[in-house]
Amino acid sequence: MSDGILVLEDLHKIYGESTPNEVHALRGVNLEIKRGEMVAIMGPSGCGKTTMLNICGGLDSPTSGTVKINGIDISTFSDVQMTAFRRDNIGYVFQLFNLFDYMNALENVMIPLLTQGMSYPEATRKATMILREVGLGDRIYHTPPEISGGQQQRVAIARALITHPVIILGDEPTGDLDSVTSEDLMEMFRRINIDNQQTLILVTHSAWIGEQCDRIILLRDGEVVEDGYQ
Amino acid sequence: MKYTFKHTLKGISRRKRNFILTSFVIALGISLVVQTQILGSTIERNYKEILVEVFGNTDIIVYSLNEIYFTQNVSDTLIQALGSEFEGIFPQVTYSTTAYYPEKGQFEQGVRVETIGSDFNGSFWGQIYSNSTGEELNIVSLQEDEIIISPELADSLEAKINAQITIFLRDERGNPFFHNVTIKDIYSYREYGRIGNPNDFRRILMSEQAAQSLIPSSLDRPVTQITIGIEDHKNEPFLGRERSDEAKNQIETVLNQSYQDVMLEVNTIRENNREGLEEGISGFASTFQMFGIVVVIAGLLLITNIQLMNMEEREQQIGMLRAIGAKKRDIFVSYSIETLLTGVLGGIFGLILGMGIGIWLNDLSRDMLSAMGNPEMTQSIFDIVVEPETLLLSLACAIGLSFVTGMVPALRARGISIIEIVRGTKSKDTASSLNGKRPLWPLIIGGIIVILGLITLVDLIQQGQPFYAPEGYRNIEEEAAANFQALFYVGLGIIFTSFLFRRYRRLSLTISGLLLVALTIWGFQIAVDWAEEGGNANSIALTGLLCGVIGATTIVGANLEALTAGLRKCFSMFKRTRATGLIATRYINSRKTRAVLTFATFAVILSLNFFIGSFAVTQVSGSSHTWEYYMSGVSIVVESQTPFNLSSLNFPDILQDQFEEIEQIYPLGVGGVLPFRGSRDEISPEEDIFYSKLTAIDFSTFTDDNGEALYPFVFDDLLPHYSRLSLINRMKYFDEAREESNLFWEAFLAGQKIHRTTKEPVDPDDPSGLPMFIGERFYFLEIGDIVSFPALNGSLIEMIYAGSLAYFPSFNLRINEFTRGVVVSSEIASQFSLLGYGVKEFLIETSNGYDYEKNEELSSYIEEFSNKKETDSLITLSGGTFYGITAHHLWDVFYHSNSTNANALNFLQIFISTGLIIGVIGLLVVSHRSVKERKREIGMLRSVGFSKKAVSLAVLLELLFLGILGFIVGFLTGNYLAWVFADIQNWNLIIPWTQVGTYGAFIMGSVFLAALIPGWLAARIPPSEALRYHG
Repeated sequence: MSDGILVLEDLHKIYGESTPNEVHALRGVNLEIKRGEMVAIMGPSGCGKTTMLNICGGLDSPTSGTVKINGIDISTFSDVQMTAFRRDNIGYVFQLFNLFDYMNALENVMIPLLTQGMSYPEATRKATMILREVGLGDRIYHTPPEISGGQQQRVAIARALITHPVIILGDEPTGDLDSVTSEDLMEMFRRINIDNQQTLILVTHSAWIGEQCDRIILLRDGEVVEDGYQ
Repeated sequence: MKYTFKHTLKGISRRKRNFILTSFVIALGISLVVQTQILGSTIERNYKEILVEVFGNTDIIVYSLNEIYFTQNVSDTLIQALGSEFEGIFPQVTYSTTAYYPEKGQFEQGVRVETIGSDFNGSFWGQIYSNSTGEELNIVSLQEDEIIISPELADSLEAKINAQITIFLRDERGNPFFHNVTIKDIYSYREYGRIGNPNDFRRILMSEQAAQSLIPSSLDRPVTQITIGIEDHKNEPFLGRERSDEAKNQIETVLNQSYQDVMLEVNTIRENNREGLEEGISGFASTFQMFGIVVVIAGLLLITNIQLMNMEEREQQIGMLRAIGAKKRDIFVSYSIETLLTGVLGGIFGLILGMGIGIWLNDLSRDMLSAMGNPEMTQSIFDIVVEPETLLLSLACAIGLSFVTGMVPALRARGISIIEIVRGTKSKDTASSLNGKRPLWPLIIGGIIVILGLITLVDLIQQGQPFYAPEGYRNIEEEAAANFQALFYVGLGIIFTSFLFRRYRRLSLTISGLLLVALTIWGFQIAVDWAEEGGNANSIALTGLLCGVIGATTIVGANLEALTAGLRKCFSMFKRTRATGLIATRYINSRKTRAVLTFATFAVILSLNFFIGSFAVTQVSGSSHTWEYYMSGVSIVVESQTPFNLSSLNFPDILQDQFEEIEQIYPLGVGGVLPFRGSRDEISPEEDIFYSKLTAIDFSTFTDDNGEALYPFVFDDLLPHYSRLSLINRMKYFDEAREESNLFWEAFLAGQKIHRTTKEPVDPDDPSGLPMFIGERFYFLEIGDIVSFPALNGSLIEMIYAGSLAYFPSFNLRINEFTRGVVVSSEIASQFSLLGYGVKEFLIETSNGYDYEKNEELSSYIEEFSNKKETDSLITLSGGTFYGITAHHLWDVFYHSNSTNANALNFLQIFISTGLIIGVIGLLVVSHRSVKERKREIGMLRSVGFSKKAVSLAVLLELLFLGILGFIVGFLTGNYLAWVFADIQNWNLIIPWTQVGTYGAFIMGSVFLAALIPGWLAARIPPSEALRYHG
């Protein structure tokens, strides 16, 4: 048995299959990512980076091939199984933060815990703690429109971390941020990676972010063309 | 400009689905306006056409109220005096009788005897033909004992040609006699120009000479009635009140000179009936219109909701356009073009939809109006009427509504910071744009209320009563002063709250809402007071209802966060609903305006549904209780339809021997129709002619256990205004009034008189006194007023008005229900021979209680026993006299009147339910748009662990919460209004819980549909795809 936390085998994804608009986004991707690795997935636009990330996180399903997380093949999961798995094992950080505008930072972070059935006071306590950890102890009752982009992304990171997922997926997490804020966030990612031994997979265009990671995987036209450790 | 236009069209093309959906919602709202218009114009137009058809050429009918008649040359007199514009003057002899066919034992009351004389100057009837042979019939050649009858009468008597029937009449002394006649033929009219279709009437035609010989008159050839048609309205169906009155005065002047002894009645019958019918339908029409307005307001809320979504959706675009250099004017023009196109499309759709629903509702209204008791209606074709104004109005409304609801948000969007929009930091909630600003609406609403208060004050000073008060309201000055104060202070209060808004937003809104609710309660109280005075309680009550809904909406809107916090706490108790509860409640708070509009739509429509639903049930139950109360154990009323007086027989004993179930019989002397002059209107002094039943009471029948005479009721006029008194005060005043009225009763029972000036009972021999009579409240007579009644011998008898009777009995038999019209003691009645008109009436108590079927059966047996020629029947026992006994089961009367009301309420219920369905469809559209707008958010929810079910549940919870809030507000306001209307009648409010449950289930079902379908569809989209969505 492989010791990879994430194993992709002959992964294919075809959008609009058998239609004039058919797009073969992933073409037989084989990949293994080990526990505690911090991986950058890079490549030109439209090469299938986000598609691969979404499939890894159970937001999308492959056309063929298997996805194993912690040895469990999630590619055959039903929607209900996938939802539960995603909730307990995956954390997401998006480029556009994807926070709920109408809830404050605390509530945004609490949501994953509440979906797990945790009580309000307990969820509040944990969310407050993690927001303090990401440096937002004085912004917990602010709504996203009331804080800066960098702070919003910190809230998103706190939300991703709150359930202690085995894998954290980041889709261009610093894409909307300035370089100083980006550096801060990357530092935070690195600390999380080291402290918690959590696996981080970041999709990025930025060579600088790639340099911050342990491993870089280069995709082109839906295929892995380079895969190397630094 | 050209570019802006092109850009707008491109924009519409790109968002065509939203464009069509917006137009659809506008169409739904407009359809409500259209159907209201169509129903209104259809009812009005058809009523007029029916009147034209029914009255043919007849404008005026002249007849004698006493028994002194016109002479044969009356038509010549009128033509000579009035000229050629009177196109037809048709003198005739006509009177009412009871027809009896002994062979079949059938009889018919109220049969009209009519004549057509060969030498009369013109006739509107046209030629008549034999129903069997089709040959022309000649009335002039009829022998004295020969008649021709209508097909309707032949059917009801089961009589054929050559059958001998009996008609009942009186001689000049008032003594009854009968006259046997032979049916020569049964007529058929092919063309007719007079009132109604004569083929359908119960009518006897006889020769002029024969008819004249049967009526008591000293004249050789008396004329009892003159029918007149006037030429000068050939192109118009109605003469108009002014011309009718002018003609009436001309006729009165001429006839008063020539026939000084005749007590004339010149009846402008066509105009009177038009006014009467208009008055009759105006109550229904005004209620209908008010309900229509409320339903349209619900439509307006719906449209505002969707326009708000449009604005929110386009804020980003507007900001971007402004950022790249578009002028404010360009945005305004672009939005105007789009709004105009949406309005036009919505108007056209709405017109088509409204016409469809209007035609369907029209069919319902026709059935309902037919059932309301006008037989002419059932035969009339109720054509749908679509006025050109309706077409224009629907388009104007559509454009107006889309502009009002579309432009205001657009103008507001124009003022929003470009930076905020482009950066996406602007709050999604329109209401939040008020943060830190003083809102305009309390100033506007408060200002309107204050102005209304000031108008009340000005009206009070100048005219003595406000414009909205009913005429003749008793305590108008006191009431109007209170109105002014209430309006003034509530209005000022609302204005004042706007100054609190900056610091205490929630408090200021709550106070505004409470003030509006207070205004509602005040409005309802006025409605209660005025309803008893004939005021337009509907308008006041429905205005109050709207204030109530607006007030409740404001309170709920202001406290939405507190309410949702409570809801969130509830949901936090369950593991599965913690996250969904948080999302749903936070989302509601983030779009307060939209939430308030959604639940207000529900609340407005449901308040009407609940009002009608509860009031319908309360009305049926309450009126049946009232009816039982009035019946006081009396179940059957037996009446003789011939002039023969049953008092010569020991009729009660005969009946009691015959039928064991009869427990008690109360005799009432009842005369025929007694015309007299009085004033119907307290304010305008013109006299009206009343046609009243005459009741003579033999009070020796009504005694207590000691044989002492009982006073069956107090005089209403002695009681203070009922609705203003608390129950305790009512009883106190009632006791005082009873003591005072006993004075009148003692005099009344003793056949005494009342003093002309002191209005106190006087010694019977006092020449300054007059005999007393009791009248009805709507005669608007003051105690002591003197009224002239026509007597048998043609003279006028003066009597003095002693008062009207209240519904406060002194003992168990509340005979005031059976003593309507003019009531005199039997002694007075016989003294003035007034009873010579009529017959005896008996009120029967049975051992069956209120068992409908048993009493119905007993009624049939009484009629059979009384009218059939059999051994031991009444005819045999009385030595062969036929009395024409009718036995009415009182519940029949109740069911008839009740079913009419129930029909009207059912129709309103259907109309409002149409509004409810349209509201639900609109909400489905709003919900669909709302969910679509949240597609990306649903992807976010899925990414953090929400299952498809949880996503659907979150959407459902939002709408469910708003639906329940609307349900509660609608339930409370609707039932409060129903309670107010029930209280007017002293009924207990009955809430039809099954119906409430049905509405609840319908609302919940609709909410499920409106939330789950779009929610489920959205949740099915793969999260990765949903996350790519950018609105």
